[in-house]
Amino acid sequence: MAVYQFNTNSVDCPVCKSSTQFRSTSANLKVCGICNTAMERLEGGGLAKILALQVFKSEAPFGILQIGTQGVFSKRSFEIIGCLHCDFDDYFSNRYTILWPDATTGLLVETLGFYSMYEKITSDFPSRLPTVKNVPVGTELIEILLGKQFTVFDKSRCNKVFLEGEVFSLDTDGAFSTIELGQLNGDRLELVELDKSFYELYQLTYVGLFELSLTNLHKIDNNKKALLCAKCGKRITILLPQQSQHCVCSNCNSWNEIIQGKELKSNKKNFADYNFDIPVGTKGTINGIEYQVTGAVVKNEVGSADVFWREYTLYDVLTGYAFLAEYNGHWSFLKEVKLNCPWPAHKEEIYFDNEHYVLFNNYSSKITSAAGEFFTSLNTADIIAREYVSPPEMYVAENAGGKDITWYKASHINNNTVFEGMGLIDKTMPTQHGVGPLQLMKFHINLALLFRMCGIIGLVFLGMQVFFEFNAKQEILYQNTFNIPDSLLSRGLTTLSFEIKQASSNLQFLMSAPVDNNWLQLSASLVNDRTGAEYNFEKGVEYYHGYTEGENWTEGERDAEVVLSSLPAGMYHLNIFPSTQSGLAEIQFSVTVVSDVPMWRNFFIILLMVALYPLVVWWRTQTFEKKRWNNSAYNPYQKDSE
Amino acid sequence: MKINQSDKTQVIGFSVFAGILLCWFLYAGSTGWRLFNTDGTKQPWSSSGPGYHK
Repeated sequence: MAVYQFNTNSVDCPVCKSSTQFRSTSANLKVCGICNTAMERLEGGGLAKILALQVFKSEAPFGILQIGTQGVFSKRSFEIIGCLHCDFDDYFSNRYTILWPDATTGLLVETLGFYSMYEKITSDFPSRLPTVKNVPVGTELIEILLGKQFTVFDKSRCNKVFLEGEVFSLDTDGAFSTIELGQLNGDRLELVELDKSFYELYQLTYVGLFELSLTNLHKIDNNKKALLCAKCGKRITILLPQQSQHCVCSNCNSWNEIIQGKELKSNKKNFADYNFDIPVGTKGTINGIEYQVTGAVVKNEVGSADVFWREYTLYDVLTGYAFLAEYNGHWSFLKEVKLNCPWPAHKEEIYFDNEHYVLFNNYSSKITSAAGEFFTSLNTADIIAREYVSPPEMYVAENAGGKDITWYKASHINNNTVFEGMGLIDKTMPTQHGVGPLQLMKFHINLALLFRMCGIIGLVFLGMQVFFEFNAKQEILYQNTFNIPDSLLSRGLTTLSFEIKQASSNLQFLMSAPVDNNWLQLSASLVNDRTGAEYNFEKGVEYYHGYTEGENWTEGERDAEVVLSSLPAGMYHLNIFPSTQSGLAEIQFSVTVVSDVPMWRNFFIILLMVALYPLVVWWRTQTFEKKRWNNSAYNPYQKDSE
Repeated sequence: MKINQSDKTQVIGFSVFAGILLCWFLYAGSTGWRLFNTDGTKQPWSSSGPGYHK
């Protein structure tokens, strides 16, 4: 990172002349420890000049990081030696200069609770860097690294900085622009444009604070500040004076802009009074993180007179901002995520982590009521939001008037979890109506998983049935054709004995008779020769044909079968009592007895039983999903029924 | 496909259910048991009397 050549680390303050030691060989800005002058050391021998930058003056650091905080990144230890606290158009960002063991410097940046390590890189196309600011946000691509196309996600302008400690910065007047770029499933970059048309390109690595093994952190006590409403003069307590840029007076509901955390400026807009279920200032635990509610708004979908929902801004010093949203009594928890995904302008479905998310809503909103404080503007009319759901999760893309694209990940949260977590057990929860966009069905079942399992199990059963099919002996135990005069029919007949050899087997009885416009009924008993146990069955065949109204017709079959199951081994015979239409001289029929025949019926019954549960679940899910999608303009079920 | 704890419970539950059906299917297949068979009725004695055989 070093671009300067300094001969010595000892510099004399240009105001008080006291000697100041730079710890880094590359840092160029420092606040004099004696007279608090912001100075820039000059290349050469120990000289410095006065800077027009404001010096950071606060009783406490902005966050938990402070000068002296130590940590480890990529197995290298570092220490924070200074910070540029940057006041951007829409947010506040802290750019910490860190000192590596070799006395060179690095950059650790915190913006709204997101922390990233910055590594300076060189563009393969430096001549393109001045054109990046002309690339529209979220739509077009630009190649600034060889073979890598980047989307612009955010364009911001820093108007003022506050210097603290010892810092490396090419910007010495506090005004610069940043452009954040992302490559789909790849790098995240920041291009810094200094006013001298000088460009710096950084590769960003987003890190969780816990990953940095930080020590000597600042213990957050109470940074809140009391400011006076610019409209009614009533005292407003600002919980996060360093982060919040806007607030609403609890007395007159007027919108105030927070100027550098010190004073309020009226925005000449008043919001409607509203009694929020979770009061601003409430502290509680959601998803294991201790949050404080710092703001609450009621939003109304533009163009819809009856769609209102509530959003609560939560803040935690370690993890930054998060949100709770409540619509029709259904809650969801949202957190910004750094996705390098372009603005999904016309996409009705997207994929993240192999999950399929479907467009649920596309809207703009306006704020009708507000309380507390906010890090962004309360004018949301130019923000377009697109929501993609895969319950219980959702991705929300917000396009702020083509200035920046922000992605949020939302997940359903139980209303009991919200109220218990926020310590509001005694409060009445908002009544639930319909099905929430991210709500899971009671006794939710993962249908895709269930169907996949059902398919696998079905294949296993099919394999086993095929095995049974090939191994079935299908042994003919008895076969005979009978010609019986009508006069002997009533006496019945008895067959010779035949033997079932298997310990247990089924028996198939096939009967066939050449009936012609006639019928034959057999009442039979299979009798065990030894035990006398009987298995009775009846079966008939009938076959009719004719010519009616110019057409030949037939009805019935000349063959029939009966299967008896699980017969024990032994000698058996059949007693058969045939009957037929009277008046025939003789009847003819044949009987075949086969043992150990394959039973496909068993396979289909079992298959039906396996499929029954997934089918019931599918039906329940369909009913539930139809109710969910009733609230969406992209209702796929409506399309089906049209 | 993401598999969470609830899904794991489903997998185990459905596997147990499928396992029971599998045992039933195996038993029926090996003993010649035709499930829900209504083709014949069994009575443990001969209604025709012992003298009727042959």
